[in-house]
Amino acid sequence: MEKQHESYLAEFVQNGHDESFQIIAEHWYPAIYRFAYSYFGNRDDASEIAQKTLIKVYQNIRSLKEVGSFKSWIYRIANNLCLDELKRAGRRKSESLSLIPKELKLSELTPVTEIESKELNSLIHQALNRLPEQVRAVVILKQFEEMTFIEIGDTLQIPEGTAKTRMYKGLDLLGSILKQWNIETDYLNYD
Amino acid sequence: MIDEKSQQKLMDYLFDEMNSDERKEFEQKIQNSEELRNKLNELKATQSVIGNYSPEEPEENGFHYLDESEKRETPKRPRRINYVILTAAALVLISIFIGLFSSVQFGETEQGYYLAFGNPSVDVEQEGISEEELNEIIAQIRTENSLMMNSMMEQIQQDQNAQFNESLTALADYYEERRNRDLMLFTEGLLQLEESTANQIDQTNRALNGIIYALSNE
Repeated sequence: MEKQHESYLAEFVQNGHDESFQIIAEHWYPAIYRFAYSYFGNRDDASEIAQKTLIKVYQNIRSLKEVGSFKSWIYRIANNLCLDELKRAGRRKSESLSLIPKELKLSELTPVTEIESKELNSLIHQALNRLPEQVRAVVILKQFEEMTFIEIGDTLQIPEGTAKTRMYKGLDLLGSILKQWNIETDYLNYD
Repeated sequence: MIDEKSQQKLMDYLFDEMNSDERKEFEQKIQNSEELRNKLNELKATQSVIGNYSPEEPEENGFHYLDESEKRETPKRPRRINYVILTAAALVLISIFIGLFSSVQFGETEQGYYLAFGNPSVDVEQEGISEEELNEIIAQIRTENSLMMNSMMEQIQQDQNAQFNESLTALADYYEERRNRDLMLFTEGLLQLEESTANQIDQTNRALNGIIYALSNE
């Protein structure tokens, strides 16, 4: 959906046009669901967060002054809900990077290409879970939601430079985690 | 150790958020630094691995539309509300206290109850509009707009049809007139030809008569 269309729809909803909200909900539900799924790795949490996000959007859209920044605003709501849910459930927290669950570590150095996609998905999700919250949010928004660093800054209300630094840190940490789990990232091929 | 500025540049480079000049300049820097080169390759490799991650898609129609209790719920602001309630309560208490020492008027009008100090004029009329009435007005305006649009569209359609018919008639008239004119020109031409042919025959006859007469006299 084009940014201009988002703005128009947001304005319509602000003016009480509920049919426009249905279009917004249908368009954004899958995106927010995927975003939340990257956080939690399960359908229930993802659909709950997506649902709550859209309800909050509906309830608070009149307070949105800049309709042009609707995308950042909706992701900000979703991100805050994800963080709240993590805190509420007492999950994740800062699991030490040195604590490698035995069931995750592969028995020998294995190239990525030899890991089944479902297993790899699970491993990557576990690796994401081990990132500090602030870093993880940036990695998800950049890598999976394909936002620019300016958009990430706007969404998380941090300077653009901070978003870049956190992304660097995120990739660096993920690389270390994958190495610890004996997952070969064959980076030498890039020379 | 890679400094923070270079880390940010690496991110710009990796995610293609540099202009061509910056890119060239940074590529030069990478060429001259083995550390940067190695780090860039590591980051690319990690990015490529996590690029394999695919969050599951939601089931269709995953969003459950809001029921009435969820609609337009006032955002929860407990602390602020508490302050508002406390302030209101304090004002009421102060009013009652002052009221004890002054002439308080309390009564009822058609619009509701009033509380005032001294001798208020109770003829104040406050006619507002409720949300329900507003919604009705909006709905009515929408319906009227829709009817007006339909009527306009019909009118435009009719005008276009009339214009088209007029154009068609004018074109037919033009061709008819032109055909008649051509027919007249053709008839005139034919008459002229006939006349000139008759003249020529007449002249030929006279010339032949002259020749015959001359030959008979010899």
